[in-house]
Amino acid sequence: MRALRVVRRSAFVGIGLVVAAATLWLLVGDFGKPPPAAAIGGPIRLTDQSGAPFDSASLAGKPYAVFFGFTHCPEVCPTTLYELSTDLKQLGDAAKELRVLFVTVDPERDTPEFLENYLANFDPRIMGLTGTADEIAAVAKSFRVFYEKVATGEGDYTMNHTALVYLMDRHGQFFGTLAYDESGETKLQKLRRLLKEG
Amino acid sequence: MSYLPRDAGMHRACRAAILAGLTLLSIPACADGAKLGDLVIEHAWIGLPPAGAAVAGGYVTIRNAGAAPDRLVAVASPIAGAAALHRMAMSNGVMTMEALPDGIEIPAGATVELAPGSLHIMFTRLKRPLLLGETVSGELVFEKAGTVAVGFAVLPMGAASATEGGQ
Repeated sequence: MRALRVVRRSAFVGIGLVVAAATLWLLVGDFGKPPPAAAIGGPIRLTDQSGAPFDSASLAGKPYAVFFGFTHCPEVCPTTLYELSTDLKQLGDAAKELRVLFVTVDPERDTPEFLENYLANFDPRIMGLTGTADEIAAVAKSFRVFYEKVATGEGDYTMNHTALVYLMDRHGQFFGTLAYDESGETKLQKLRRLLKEG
Repeated sequence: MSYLPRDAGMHRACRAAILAGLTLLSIPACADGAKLGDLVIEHAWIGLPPAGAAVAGGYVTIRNAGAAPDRLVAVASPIAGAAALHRMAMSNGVMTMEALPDGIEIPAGATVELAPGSLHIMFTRLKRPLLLGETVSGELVFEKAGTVAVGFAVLPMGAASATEGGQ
């Protein structure tokens, strides 16, 4: 009987230790963790410039970049697409598989046909994506991208929008951003790092 | 290239325009700035928009040598269905665009530069694709000084200023 009691007591102590360790692990584990990278970005399910459905799952295993903009944009959007085209050319073969997704925040005017025509000016690795207002809103929300229509008179409008280029790693996780006012060299370095480490 | 003046990009574009036999009106703005009363208008240019684009950004430098302020209130060009004055700003990665229905003040004795990243002319409803190196005719309308013809040199996509010409 005595032996049994010892065994039982040891069992209780053992269970207690396991519970304590688990609690500690949950607490410390959670406190120590940085905010999850998944907080920026998410699946992109839209319509590409050829009118075909697009799912970012098709890019699994490859890093990619995402830029939200619109074609009725006088400076930031064409300049960003132009710079990305130059960067892609400069990165050469290393960026053969790198895709840049240009997601319109103005689906009303940016139809697949218009996007296709517009993007013919840039590197073919840049894909145009559009969708319904709700679809665009969902993707923008997952990237924490801000956009809004601004009336400019005579029924015309323009868009305010986040102008960062989001870099996503081969697992579709957020890797970093390119800012419009960063130097060309910094942007190129970030893209090189994405291709190497992302 | 060292013999060229600092604003070689502008001169190149202007030469191209002159060679192309474009309107005489566009030449004064190219060569040493168009004058209208106390205003001197220089470095009028447009960043080449992607073919098929409906809009383009235009830029110009306006010097007011007079003792009274004036105001740029309107712009027109035969290549665009409309032109408006806008101000762009970038804050925390967000680009914002503001229409300036009252125009842009040109204070007495000041030089106001419309340039990428800030004040610009927003040409909309483009009627045809623009060509690199061409000069597009246009008009600037000032509240007091009146109207002046200018030639906008079409510079490479991504150009940061009339003098840099490109990156």
